[in-house]
Amino acid sequence: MISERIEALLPDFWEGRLPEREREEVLAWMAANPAAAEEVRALEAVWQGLSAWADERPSPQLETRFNAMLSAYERGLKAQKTTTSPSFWILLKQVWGYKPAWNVGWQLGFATACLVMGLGLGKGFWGRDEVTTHQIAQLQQQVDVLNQKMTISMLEQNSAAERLAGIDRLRMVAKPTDETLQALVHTLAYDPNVNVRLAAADALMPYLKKDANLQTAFAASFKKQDSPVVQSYLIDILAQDRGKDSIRLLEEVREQTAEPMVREQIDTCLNEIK
Amino acid sequence: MTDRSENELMLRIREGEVHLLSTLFERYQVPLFNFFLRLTQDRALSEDFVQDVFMRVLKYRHTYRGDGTFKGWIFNLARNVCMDHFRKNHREIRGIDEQVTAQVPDDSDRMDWIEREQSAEMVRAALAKLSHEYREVLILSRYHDMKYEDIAIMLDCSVAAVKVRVHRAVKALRKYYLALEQEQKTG
Repeated sequence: MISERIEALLPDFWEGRLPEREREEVLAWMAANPAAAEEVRALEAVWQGLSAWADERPSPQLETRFNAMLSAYERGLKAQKTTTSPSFWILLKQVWGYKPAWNVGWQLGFATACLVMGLGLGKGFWGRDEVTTHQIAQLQQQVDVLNQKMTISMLEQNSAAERLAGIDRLRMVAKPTDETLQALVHTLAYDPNVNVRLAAADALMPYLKKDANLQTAFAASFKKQDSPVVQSYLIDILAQDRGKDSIRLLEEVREQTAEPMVREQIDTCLNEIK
Repeated sequence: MTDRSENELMLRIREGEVHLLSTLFERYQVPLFNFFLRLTQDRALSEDFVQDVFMRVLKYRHTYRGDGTFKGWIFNLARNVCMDHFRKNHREIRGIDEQVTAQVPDDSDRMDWIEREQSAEMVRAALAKLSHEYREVLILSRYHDMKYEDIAIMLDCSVAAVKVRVHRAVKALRKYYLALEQEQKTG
């Protein structure tokens, strides 16, 4: 039977860092209790055997993700200090400087190219026939539809880089459909990656003024944000919107949040609006 | 890097010099990754957890007082990340991740590697059978050289209680080792 007193000494005893007096106490106890001493030695072997599982290294992506997160956070802090909120796209392009895996992008991009070429050839785009304005508009519409399908499909990918690339693709779309905008709102509310949520917010910004339902959905997504960086950016966007709903939401968030920086930023924005 | 310089760095981060977090990330990404890997045996999840810990460092930097060690503070955050995840997902170890096993060398060290890998496999399997409470205290004390005082603060108990818990965890681990050895002999 090993007493609690001896139990408490054993880990340091096995590590060889027990003070001399206590080490002697353990050795004396072991000498007086040969059966228990045998158990202590067997346990020491288990303790030492744990070193068989040596340290492993995480993948390099961990560092890339960390740098992305830190840059986004620093950017968020700077944005808090200024009234203007420059596009996060610049930031995200720096952050995701490496070439993403464009699996879906390539497939749908190829489909887009085929459509352009097919329509072009069919209408004599590269031939002698002139292309009417109407035909070009039709062509643009088809390309827009494909780009939006590409965006929605890429938003469902596991890789954050692909989801960002999907949002980037929306820049080529003249007029996104409600389905695409809803997919972006969903991404803003639920995507696990901060950078993707920031990009979704940025992509939604141009359409907020024109769509009251979108404003409401955008504002509602604020409450789902746990990242101060995203919160800070959404505050900027809502402040720029200056709509009644946005102001009311900012006031609500101000009351609910425990983050002093968020409260401070909202105060500044509300003062400017008023 | 000493406890003191880590503490000073974190105090500067608290005051707004957030870029300094890169230095602490360099220092802690591997220990934290291994802490999570030994707890969960899941590489992808462990990397997510490390990222989450550093997000929490930023989120809670204002709460850092610098009256303990930075190591104790960040491992406490790590522990909370893990507990929050398991609380939400109602599960513990998913099973031994095949990716945990390192690549097989193709040179003359192969036999040594196999022997080491078999021992490591036994450690992983036995650790996976331990209760979370025992596994956690064992990992912190055995692999991360945490001071018992820091672990005691983290677990909200006395230093003596931590030491007793470590001993009992080793005892439980031995029981699982013996069972696994028996399984290997009969299987």
